[in-house]
Amino acid sequence: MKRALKLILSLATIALMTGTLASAQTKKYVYTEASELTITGKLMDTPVPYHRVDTVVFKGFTKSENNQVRNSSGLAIAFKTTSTRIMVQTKYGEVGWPTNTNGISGRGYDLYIKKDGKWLFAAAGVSPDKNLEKPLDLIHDMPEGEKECLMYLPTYSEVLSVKIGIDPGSTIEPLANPFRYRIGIFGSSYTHGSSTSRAGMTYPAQFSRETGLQMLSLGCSGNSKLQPYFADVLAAANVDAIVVDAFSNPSPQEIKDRLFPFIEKVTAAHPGMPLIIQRTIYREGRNFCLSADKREARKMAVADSMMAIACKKYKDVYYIKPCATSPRRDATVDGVHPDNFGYHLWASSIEKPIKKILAKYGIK
Amino acid sequence: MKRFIAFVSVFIFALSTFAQTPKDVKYVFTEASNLNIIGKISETVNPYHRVDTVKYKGFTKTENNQVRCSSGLAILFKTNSTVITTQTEYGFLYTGTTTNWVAHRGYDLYIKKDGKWIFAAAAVAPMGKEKQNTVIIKNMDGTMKECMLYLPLYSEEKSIKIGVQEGSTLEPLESPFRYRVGIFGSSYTHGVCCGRAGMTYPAQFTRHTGIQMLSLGCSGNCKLQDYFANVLVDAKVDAFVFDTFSNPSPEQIRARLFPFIEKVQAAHPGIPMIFQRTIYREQRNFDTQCEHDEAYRITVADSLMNIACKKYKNVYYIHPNASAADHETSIDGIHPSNYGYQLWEESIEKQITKILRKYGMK
Repeated sequence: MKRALKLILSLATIALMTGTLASAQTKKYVYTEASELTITGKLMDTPVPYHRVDTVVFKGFTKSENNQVRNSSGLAIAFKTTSTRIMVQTKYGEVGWPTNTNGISGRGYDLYIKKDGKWLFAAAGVSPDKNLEKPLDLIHDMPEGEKECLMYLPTYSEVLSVKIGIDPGSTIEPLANPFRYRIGIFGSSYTHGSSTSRAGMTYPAQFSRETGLQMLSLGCSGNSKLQPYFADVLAAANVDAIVVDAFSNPSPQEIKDRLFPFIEKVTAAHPGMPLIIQRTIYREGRNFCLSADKREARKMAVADSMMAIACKKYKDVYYIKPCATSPRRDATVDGVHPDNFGYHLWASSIEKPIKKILAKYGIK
Repeated sequence: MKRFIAFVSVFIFALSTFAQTPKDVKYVFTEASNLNIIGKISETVNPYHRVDTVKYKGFTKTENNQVRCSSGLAILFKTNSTVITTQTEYGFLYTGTTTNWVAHRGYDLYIKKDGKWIFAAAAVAPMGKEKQNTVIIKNMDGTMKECMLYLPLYSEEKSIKIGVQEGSTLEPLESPFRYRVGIFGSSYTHGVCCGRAGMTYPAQFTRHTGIQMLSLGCSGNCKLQDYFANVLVDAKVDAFVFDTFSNPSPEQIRARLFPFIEKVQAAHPGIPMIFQRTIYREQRNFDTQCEHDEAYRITVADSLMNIACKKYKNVYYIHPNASAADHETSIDGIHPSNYGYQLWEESIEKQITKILRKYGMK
C-alpha cells in the first residue's frame, strides 16, 4: 500500500513538474511592435522608427556617422500595461561592441515605471551576446494593475524591430508623451552615452526625467564636430530649443572654422529660438597626461574665446558650463568618459542654467 | 631681465617637450609580480591568482575560475617613465554583459599626488588583440611617481608585463596600506558592474582608509561553503569582513552560518569577524517575487546574526547601503554602479574602523 502511494505521489510530482516546465516553455506572450506605442526623444521622423536620422534624406555623413545616427540612443518607449511581465524581442541591425560601455547599455533595455509621480528604476537587461535576438525577460512578478512604463532603447545599436511582449489577457497601450517641449541635443560620445551602464543614464535622459523637458538626442560618438551636414539635420528638426555639446570632439582649428557658420545655419532655420552651447567637461585623463591636459586646455580656451564673441554677435545664443567631476575625482570609466554618476553630475549642473534660459522663451 | 625670462621660458618649454613620450619609444618590460602585489589573501603559484586551486579543493568549475581571477589585486611601483603599458597573457576570460571590458579585463591606474591616490588612466587591449602591448598612459612628465595599477576584475592572467620607456626606472613601491583584512563575498565584492577595477568597494575602502583589504569576492558563489572556510582558515589576516548573505538561500544560511563561524574562528581566535548584511536590490522596486525573497533572506540573516553576535565573541554585524535617494545607483537591478559601490564603501567605513580600533588597528 505504502509503495503504491509512493508511486502515485511520484507520478503526480513528475506530472506537475512536467506541466510547470511545459507551461513556462510554451507560454505565449502577446507582442506589440514598440513603434505602435509612444516613442519619446525622437528628433525627427524616419522610415525605420528607431533611427534618429533618415540617412536617405540627409547626406554627408561618414560611414561611422551613418551607423551612429541609426543607433537608438535617446529613444524611449512610453506605454501603459497591466501585464506582470515584460518581454522584449529585438531584430538588430548594426550592433555596437564598445569596450568602455557594457552590453546592457550598448545593446540592452532600461525600464522605468512611474511611482508616486516619479520615474523609478525597474529593470535593465540584454540577451546573451551569442544569442542577442533571443526574447529578453526584462521584468516579471510585477504587481497587478496598470503601470506607466518608460523603456529606453540601446545606446550603441541599430534596432530594426523591437517587440514588447506581455502576458496573454493583459493590456498594453500607448502612454501620452510624459515630457514637455522638444529640445534637440547634438553632441559627442558624452551625449551618445559612452560609458553609461544602462541607456537611461545618459545625461539627456536624466535631464528629461528630472525636469520633465524632453530632450531629443543626436549624440554621435567622436563625431560632434560642428559639421554643416549635422547642422542641416538640426535646421530641419521641429524643435523648441537646441542644446549642443559641440566642443568635445573638434580640434581648435575646426572650432575656429566651423562654429560661426554652424550657428548661422541653425539660427537662420530657427529664428528666435534659444541655441544653448555647452563647454566640454574636464577629463580625468588630464590628471597626469601632459598632452591630454595641454590639448584639452587649448580646446577649452579656443571655445571660450569664440563663444564670448558668439554670445555678443548672435541673439539667442548662450554658453553654459557643465561639470561631471565628483569630489573624489572617481566619476570616470576611462579617463575621457564619465560613469553613470558623472553623467548625473553633468545633468544636475546644467539643469538650472538651461531652465533659466528656456524660461525666457516661455518654456517651463 | 627680459632675456633671462625668455631663456627660462624656452628652457621650461624644452623640458616639457622632452617629457613627452617619443613616437618611436622603446619599451623595457618587467613582470608585474617582480614589483609589489597588494591585496593578496594567500600565496599562490601563479602570482595573479587569489587561491591555489591545486592546494584547495571542493570548488566548482566556476569557482575555480573565479578564485583565479585577479579582482582586488594591484601592483605598486615607482617609475619616472613618461609612458606605462601592459602586455598580458590571459587565461580564463569573462564574457558577461553587465561589466564592461575596461573593468573585467583591463587595467586601472592611480598615481599618488599630494598624498592622495588620484585616478590617472584606465584601458584595455582592443577586442581580438588581447596580447597586444597596450598603452595605459603616456605623455606624463618625467618625475618619479608612485603608482598603483589595479588588475582585471574578471580575468585570469598568466603573465602581466609592465612596459616603461627604455632608460627610465621601474621599481617596487613599499605598500602604504596597513594590516591585512580578508574579505570574502559575492559578485558585489568581486566587482560586478564596476566601470573599472579600482571601483570595487574593497578597493575604494583601502584607498580611503589606508587599511588593506584582501579580496576573495566570487560572483554568485559566496554561500558560506566549508571549502571557502578552509582558505580563510589558512589566510594570514588581522580581521575578516564578509558579504555572505547576498548569495545563499535562507536554508543555506541556517545550515551553514554557525559552522562557518566556528571553523574560521577556531583558526583565528581573537580576531574580529565582521559580517555585512546584504544590500537593497533595486530590482525589488517592482518585482514582487524578488522583494519577497530578498526580504525573507534578510530577515533570516538578521535573526541568525542576532544570535551569532551574542553566541560568539568577536563577531559583528553591520549594515551597508548602496542606494542613493533617487534609486539610480543600480546597473541591472542587482548590482550597484561605481557610485553605488562608493556609497557602500562610505556606509561601512565608520562601522568597520570603529570595530578594528577595539583590536588596536587604526
